[in-house]
Amino acid sequence: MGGKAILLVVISFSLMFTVVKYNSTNTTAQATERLTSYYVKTNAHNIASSAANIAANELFRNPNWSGFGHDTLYMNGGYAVLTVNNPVNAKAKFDAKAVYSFFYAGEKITEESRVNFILNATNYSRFGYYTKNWGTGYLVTGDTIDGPFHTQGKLNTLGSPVFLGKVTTKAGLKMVGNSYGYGAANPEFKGGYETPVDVPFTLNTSALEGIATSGGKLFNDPSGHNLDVRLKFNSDGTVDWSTKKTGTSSWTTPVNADLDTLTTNGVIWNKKGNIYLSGTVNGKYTVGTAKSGGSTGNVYLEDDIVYRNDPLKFVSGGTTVTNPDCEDMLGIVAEQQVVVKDNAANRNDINIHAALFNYGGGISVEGISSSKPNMGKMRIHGSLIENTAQTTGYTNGAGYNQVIKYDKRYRHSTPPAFPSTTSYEIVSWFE
Amino acid sequence: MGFSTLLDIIGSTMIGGTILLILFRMNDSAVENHYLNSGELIVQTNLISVVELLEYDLRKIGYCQNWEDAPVPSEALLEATDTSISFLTDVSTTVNQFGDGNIDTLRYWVGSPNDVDVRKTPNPKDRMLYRQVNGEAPLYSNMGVTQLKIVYFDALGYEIPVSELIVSAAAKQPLGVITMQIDITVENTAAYGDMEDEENEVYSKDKSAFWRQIRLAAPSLNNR
Repeated sequence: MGGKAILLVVISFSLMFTVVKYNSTNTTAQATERLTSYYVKTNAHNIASSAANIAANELFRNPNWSGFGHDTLYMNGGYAVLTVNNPVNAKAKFDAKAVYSFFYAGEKITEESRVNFILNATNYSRFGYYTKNWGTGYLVTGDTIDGPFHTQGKLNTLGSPVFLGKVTTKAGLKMVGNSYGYGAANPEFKGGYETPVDVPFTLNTSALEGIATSGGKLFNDPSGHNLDVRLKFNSDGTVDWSTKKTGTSSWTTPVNADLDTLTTNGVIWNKKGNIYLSGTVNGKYTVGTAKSGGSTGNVYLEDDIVYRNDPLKFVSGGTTVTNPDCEDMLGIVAEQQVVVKDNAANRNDINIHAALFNYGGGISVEGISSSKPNMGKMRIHGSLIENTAQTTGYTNGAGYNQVIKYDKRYRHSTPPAFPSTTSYEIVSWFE
Repeated sequence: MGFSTLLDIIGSTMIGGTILLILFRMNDSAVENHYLNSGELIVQTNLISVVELLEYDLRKIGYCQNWEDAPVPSEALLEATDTSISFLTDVSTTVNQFGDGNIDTLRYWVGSPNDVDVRKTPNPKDRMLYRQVNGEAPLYSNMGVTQLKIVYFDALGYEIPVSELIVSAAAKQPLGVITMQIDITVENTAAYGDMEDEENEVYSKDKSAFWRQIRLAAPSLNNR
């Protein structure tokens, strides 16, 4: 009797253990499955990300790249399908949709992942500061560069200058510290640093001339002389303009013109000569001049050139945000350079609201020397693009104390027909 | 009933009793193993859920469907400490996985092990994980997170002290964060057989799972 009871107990326990064992094994398997599922998702994502990076790399090397000739890339046991479409306000939108399959315990697990990015033309105005030639100068402790920075040369830093936007260089970085009283070599790249990045410096003046001819305003002396053009923008949306042949002294009587009528596409271009500029801008315009000979191709600033509202709002800590009240935008393009005129109006500060493009040099001050008096501050609220930096002030106080603040609207918006590079950049990345 | 019968009964009882003891012990082991495996499953599942959630959101730091409205890369991170992070992004919705085109503020942080809600659990180290979108009420869950540690690095790969990040965030200046190292440890909130032993911190030591990743702070805008 006792033996039978024991037998029944053993059988009962055996059945119970079988169930428990099954559940236990099942539980262990589920834990593994969770990890397997994560592995599959991660792999799918990596494939999508890799495919997008490969496509982006091809586009950086060749802006006209139109695909591999097939839309499926096989890698790492899975594949990615690349598709392209054209969104509004951008060059192209690339979508990499990856599929990865994995067999676990005889069961096929499939995961999909997608990465997409939007590509757009790189406009020079999106740089807070672009300089083709950096030279041998240093940015030092106390210097703050606002907005994206790029140089085709090697960037030299001494101590710990601060870069608020992303910094890219073609030829690398030289960090120097503990010299001339400056601290340790520790530049602060708040927006990142990348090298080598090639952004060639180009200017197509004939394209701007064409745009000004069809829908803009083209100044061109009919007898073929170099022409100087004086533009004084008014806050009511008009401009007073006059001209004279370069090298002569008599300006024509100023003509007041409605800018909407004068230039419907916002481009005002001087075929060859100089431009003399000042006033308050109401609207979005690009003003510029081509050169013909050594004394032309300059844009002279005769006084402040500002928007109706400052594009920047200053917040605590010295940082700025975009002023939503500012809707105006100005691009100044000089095939030579932008020059601050040496006159009474400019001897006590100058305010410049614009993206400044200096193809032949950099923004400079007429007649600047170390014996000149202190002229206050040169405030540039916009962006500065130049071939080579020029002297605008001296450490003894002569000239200007230059302050450049980036107008963040230039990141995604540009003055009409402002020069672009021949390459593209990624403006959005979703993964 | 003879003497041999008595011996049979005593013998079978002893053998039966021994077998029963063995069975009871086996039962105990089976139950323990089952609970341990279940605990491991819970830990693994929770860790993967937390990681998938964090990865999904952190990949989109600085992203916006309307790319013209995307934040300046250096300003995408609003606040950063070793246990919390707040950033600008375009939060995905069930209607649109690419976001609605409006910039949102997303914040993650872990609570204290002494918070009322987590003190109810046997594990003395678990913390609540919070996720807050804009000014909405934070969503939270006790997934057994006992550690969320974020280490921040600048463009040259140097670690940025949290004290500096706090000062920069208070002044609304760019934090300078380019890469982040994220460490997460998940433990069972009520593991089998463990006793609370804060002094020796032995709770669930063999039932924890750890995850680490180093990633770009704002991959969507790194090219600008």
